Amino acid sequence: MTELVEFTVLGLVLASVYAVAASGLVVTYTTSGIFNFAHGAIGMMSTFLFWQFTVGWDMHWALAMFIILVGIAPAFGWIVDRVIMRGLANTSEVTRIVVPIGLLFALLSLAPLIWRPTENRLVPPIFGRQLYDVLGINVTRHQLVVVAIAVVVALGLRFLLFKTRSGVAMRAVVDSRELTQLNGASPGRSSALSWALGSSLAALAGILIADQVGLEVLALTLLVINAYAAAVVGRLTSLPLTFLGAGILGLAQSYAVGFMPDTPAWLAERGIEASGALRTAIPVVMLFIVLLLVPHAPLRGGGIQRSREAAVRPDLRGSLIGFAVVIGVTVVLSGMLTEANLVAWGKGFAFALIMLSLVPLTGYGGQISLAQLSFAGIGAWAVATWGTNGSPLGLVAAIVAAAAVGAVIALPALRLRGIYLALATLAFAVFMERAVFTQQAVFGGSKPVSRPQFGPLELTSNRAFVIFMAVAFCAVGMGVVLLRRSRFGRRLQAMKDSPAACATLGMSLTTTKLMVFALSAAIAGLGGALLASLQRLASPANFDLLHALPILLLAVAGGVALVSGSLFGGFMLASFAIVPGWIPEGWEIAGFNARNSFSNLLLLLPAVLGVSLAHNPNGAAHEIGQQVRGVLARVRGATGEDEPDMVLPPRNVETLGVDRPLRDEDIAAVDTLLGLDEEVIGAAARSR
Amino acid sequence: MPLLEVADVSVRFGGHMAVEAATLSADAGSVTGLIGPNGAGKTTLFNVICGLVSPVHGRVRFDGDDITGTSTHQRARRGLARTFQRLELFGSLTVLENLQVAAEIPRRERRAPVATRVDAAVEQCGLGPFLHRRADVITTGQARLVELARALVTEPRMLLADEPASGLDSSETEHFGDLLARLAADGLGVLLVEHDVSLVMKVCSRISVLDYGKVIATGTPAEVRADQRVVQAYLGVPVEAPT
Amino acid sequence: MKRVLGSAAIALALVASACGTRVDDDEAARAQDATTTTAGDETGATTVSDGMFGTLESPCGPGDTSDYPDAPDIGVTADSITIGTISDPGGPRPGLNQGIFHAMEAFVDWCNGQGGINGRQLDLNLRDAAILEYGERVLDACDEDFALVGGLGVLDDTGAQEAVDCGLPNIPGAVVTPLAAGADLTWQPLPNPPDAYPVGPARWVAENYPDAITRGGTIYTQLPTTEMQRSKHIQAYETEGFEFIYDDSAAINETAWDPKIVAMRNADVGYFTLVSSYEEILLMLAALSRQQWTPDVIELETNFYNHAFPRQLQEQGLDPDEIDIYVRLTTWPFEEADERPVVRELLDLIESTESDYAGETELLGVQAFSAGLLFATAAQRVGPDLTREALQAELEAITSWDGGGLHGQSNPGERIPSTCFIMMKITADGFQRAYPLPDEDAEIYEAGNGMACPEDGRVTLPQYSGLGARRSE
Repeated sequence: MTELVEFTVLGLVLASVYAVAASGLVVTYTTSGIFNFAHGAIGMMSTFLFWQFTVGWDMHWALAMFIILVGIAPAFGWIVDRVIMRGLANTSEVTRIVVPIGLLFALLSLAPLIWRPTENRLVPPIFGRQLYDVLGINVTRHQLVVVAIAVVVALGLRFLLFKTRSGVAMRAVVDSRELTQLNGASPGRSSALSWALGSSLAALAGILIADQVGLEVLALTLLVINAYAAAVVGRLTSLPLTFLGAGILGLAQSYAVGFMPDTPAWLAERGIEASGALRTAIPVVMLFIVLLLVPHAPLRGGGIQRSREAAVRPDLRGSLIGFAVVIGVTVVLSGMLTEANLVAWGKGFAFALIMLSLVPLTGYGGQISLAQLSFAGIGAWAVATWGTNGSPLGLVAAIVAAAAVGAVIALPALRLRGIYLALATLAFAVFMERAVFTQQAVFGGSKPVSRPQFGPLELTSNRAFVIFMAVAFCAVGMGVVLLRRSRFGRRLQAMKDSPAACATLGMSLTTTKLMVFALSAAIAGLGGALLASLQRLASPANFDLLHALPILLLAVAGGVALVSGSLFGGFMLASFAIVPGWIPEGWEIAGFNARNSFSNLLLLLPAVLGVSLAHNPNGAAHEIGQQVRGVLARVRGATGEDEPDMVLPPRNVETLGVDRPLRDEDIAAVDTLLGLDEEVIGAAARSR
Repeated sequence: MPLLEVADVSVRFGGHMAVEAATLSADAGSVTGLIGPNGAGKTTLFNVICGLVSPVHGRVRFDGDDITGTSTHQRARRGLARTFQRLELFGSLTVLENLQVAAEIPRRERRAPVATRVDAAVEQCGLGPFLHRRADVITTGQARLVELARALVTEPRMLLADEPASGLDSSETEHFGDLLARLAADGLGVLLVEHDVSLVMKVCSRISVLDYGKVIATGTPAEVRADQRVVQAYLGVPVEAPT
Repeated sequence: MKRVLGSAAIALALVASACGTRVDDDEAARAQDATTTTAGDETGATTVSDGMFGTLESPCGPGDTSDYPDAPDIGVTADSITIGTISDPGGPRPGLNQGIFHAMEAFVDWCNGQGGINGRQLDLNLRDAAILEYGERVLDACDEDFALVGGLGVLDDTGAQEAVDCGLPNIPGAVVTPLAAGADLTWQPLPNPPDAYPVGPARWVAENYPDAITRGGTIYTQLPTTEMQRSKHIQAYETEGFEFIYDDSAAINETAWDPKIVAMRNADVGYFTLVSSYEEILLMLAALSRQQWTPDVIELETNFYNHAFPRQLQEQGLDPDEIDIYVRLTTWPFEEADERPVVRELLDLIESTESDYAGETELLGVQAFSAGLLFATAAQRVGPDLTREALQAELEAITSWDGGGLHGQSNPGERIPSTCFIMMKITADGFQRAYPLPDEDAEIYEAGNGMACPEDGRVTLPQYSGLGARRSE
């Protein structure tokens, strides 16, 4: 009994940490409609700044906290809103998820450049180490203060958001920016305020828990992933429920340590450390379960999404030519590169394949997945296990195994949409990374892989294998192009555009979703298998979450609806390794080592691209394609081909009726734009 | 026996009853109207009939079978089609592809080949001139026709048309009304929700009137026009006889 | 961009003989005053007097290269030898293991200052693997370098097969993964083959904390490679009479240490070890401080030999006198550098070498330097007709090696690890030697030249035998 009490107290102390971390997240979502993946990263930067002020420059902690919480953090949030988040209006869900990830990545890459990891930094518990006995457990004064602050923050936020004018305005902006505008309020000011507040809360969370978590870039950033489960219990909008969620999470983690039985011997002998793995994966397991249980808004239709993304219909002949060029260039260049650059080039194809897996899933089908690298990892493991002695069965196994897991994961995720689906895939990815790929029975550190052999065709030389990879990419790419023009491709797009209409036409989305997840996982699995075959080693180090981020960023920045986008993205990623090598060693510019500086700049590139999606959601490949098409059209002279038009921008509400009298269509358009449907009008009518 | 029956259906949203004890029916081969002031619950009732919303009370019957518990796509496969008040076209596909997607949905019964059904619908609704344009760059009038055509390729037996004339000018509205009448004459049952009262009076053989979620009158156009309760509900809106 | 989280640094935990300690500025300053045998030359590096580096005859020296063969093998010309060193400072963890580059630059300067190897000057290629490009750097080295010397790649399994396939000899400073540790063509100054584990420290703990060892506890950070390390530790220590009653894993950057501490307290854990990295243990210790419980003894691997440890431990609110934490060392401690001139000399050497990678000197740098000496010794014995095969033959013949006194005796040629160790205790004044002590353990101290070197101080774990990249026939 005393043990139960002890672990309960421990769990509640943990919970306060999660509560503080999650509440800022909920505030941002409630007031901006954007799930800020970079929330933890903002907290991390603030914490490092705090260290710099207090330990590095000997400032008093209260002053440092004041400067950061009232000055720097809100200012940063304001800038982020102004420069980045504003541009996310009228973009697809995918873009709204990817852009904050870009910001996350930027901060993650920037921090180690400023505060080098070679030094281990500590922040002492600000409010003191005095110990208090709480039912048999020692709690520091600092921890108690954190609990108190968590409660104060919650109450304060509730007051702000529901009782003050600005707060109500902040909440209104989410429902309808246009409506807010028509009402005379300034949505710009409100959203800036919510981002400033969100940043401040992130900073507060970071500073308060830094003593327990340590001053490590990833630790602080990823802590918030543990807190996602708490936020989802609160449906991303309810602070009281978030606190409940934090409580459940903290208790679950604590009880698991105290009471979960050890791995049974028969599993341990086979190299499966189940208990240990599960214990570390509890936050994401809970996240997954909660996502499945929390009720979601049913399909009700949302009008034609006038998003700024355009899915250009690929031209068959152009695609064939493109692929032929890719293979041709590879054959030629591969003879001229050094072995090391050849391998880097090959990695580009592997990444491109993994990014290609996002095209049917995200580009066509509008489903978001952060788990592609986990499927790639499964592919790598499969080829290591079944591809011994060069058997091509290994590649087949990779595709099948990945597809099977993809379908299994899709099953519970079928009813999830948008951010919830993204979080579910994130939970899966983290689970694979922490609990599965670390098992002795799975990779056992890493597994050697032999190159596949197709009858007499051996691919032992790197050059031969890279050409093989090029062919494989182009074959799959062609398949994806054909997919777009096929029956299944149309269904995918329909599913993305209007799930409600699909249902009313008799289309079962279940099968479609399952199939596209399986297909996407299969492609990613193949990518992972080829990467492992290239390196002749299946190593889980390639397949963790932090790698998934730039892949997602570059895939979308390259253009997630385009096969060329994935090629663009894949090679950009590979070039990060190759290009700095072209800069002569020892070159100096303004006292900085040119090669190192360029490398560091490249580190930031995926982030910059991800963030720039806010202004150009179609991605780089699309832009380039447009330019090329324009040039070709001019060269050809006549425009014989039926070029798809660009999506018209939504009508600016404020100019209606200015240049001509209002017509019926205008009213209809206003209805659509304002998102007014019968429920709203009905409710409004009754409340009078 | 009516093809579609709604019996004593109630729907609750949050604190209030959006629909209360609504009963109505619609026959095959005729156009039945459903009118009422803004916010009366018409679209909600549609959502119940096609399965996007669950009622707290009541039953929905289609061709004699109780379909209250079935899912939306299952109802669609029985022959219940629907268009939306806020257009739900597949914006990134062309008009033709919109129709193709709908026509390609597999059914148990054997039907005419995809191409035949698509061509028929294109013909019926006059989509030829803009068949290859993307669905999100056509005019509202054209979009309404496409949504109708898309529903038609599934060869439904009953069509729920939710404000299909919204955003259309008078000539487009009239054209649409003629189209619906022809479809009904060919055997399709139509349940029509419309704000344009003159259209409803012209095209419908029976009308139900909804106000604050309750059915307050049912009958022929003439009967409904004369009903005092209807006039009161529409206070201030002149109910003109069709010309 | 490619990132491998803290796993990169944490994977380092595996290296049985690696660590990351750094030298104080104070100690370096003292170096200026101590008497060292130096005479500057044009590179600014110190040379040795009387041709010795500690107990080792310096392998570097002049020679008449005029009738040397011009290109007997890759990377060798009549008057130069090109070698490569791989490390990871340029990747997602800036500065990681940069001390290796610094140390190798010092080695090459030092050796060239004496004339090189048999008169051939050494050319050094610093190859930055940035963690994820180890395989590519090996491929670069295959065509350009005679051998890889002194390096450490955190993901060295990604290049192990490549090196073996192209016949590239590897004399690394340390090795992380089993695939690389057991690979052909690999000779380490302090070998750590996958199937051997040192048990000297286990015996010492058993002698000094006899009733703690039946209540053993381990926690390891959840990573593919740490799990194997922890398994090996448990298996090896069980052969010395240890029993483990608590075994748990922690996530990278674990936040929930307190429940684990309480669980261990309730189970009355006596002996404890953490298989992880230095950053993680401080958080765990903070939790120990909060719950006011400590195990009887904590014993840690070499990678926890971080000079900031004693200070930061106290900053976490712990009193070093009230908790017994030991770190085992396989190389000579920096705190006693003055008692071993060769170590002082090495530190000065590194300190005085200019480098882009200069920072605080790390123990890995010492091992890198020892690797350099090992390579040079073998290469010097080959003579003018320097080929990779001949080098291999000479390396296999070196069955006794202590880097001139930098560390204990090991057997690189037959890949038998050193059993020598020193137990260092954390005290309020820093790390202090706990065993062997020169007076109390005089016999052992003398026999091991300052370290404890039990003859049977290692155990073989057959289930890990045979691991490693193999040359295909």
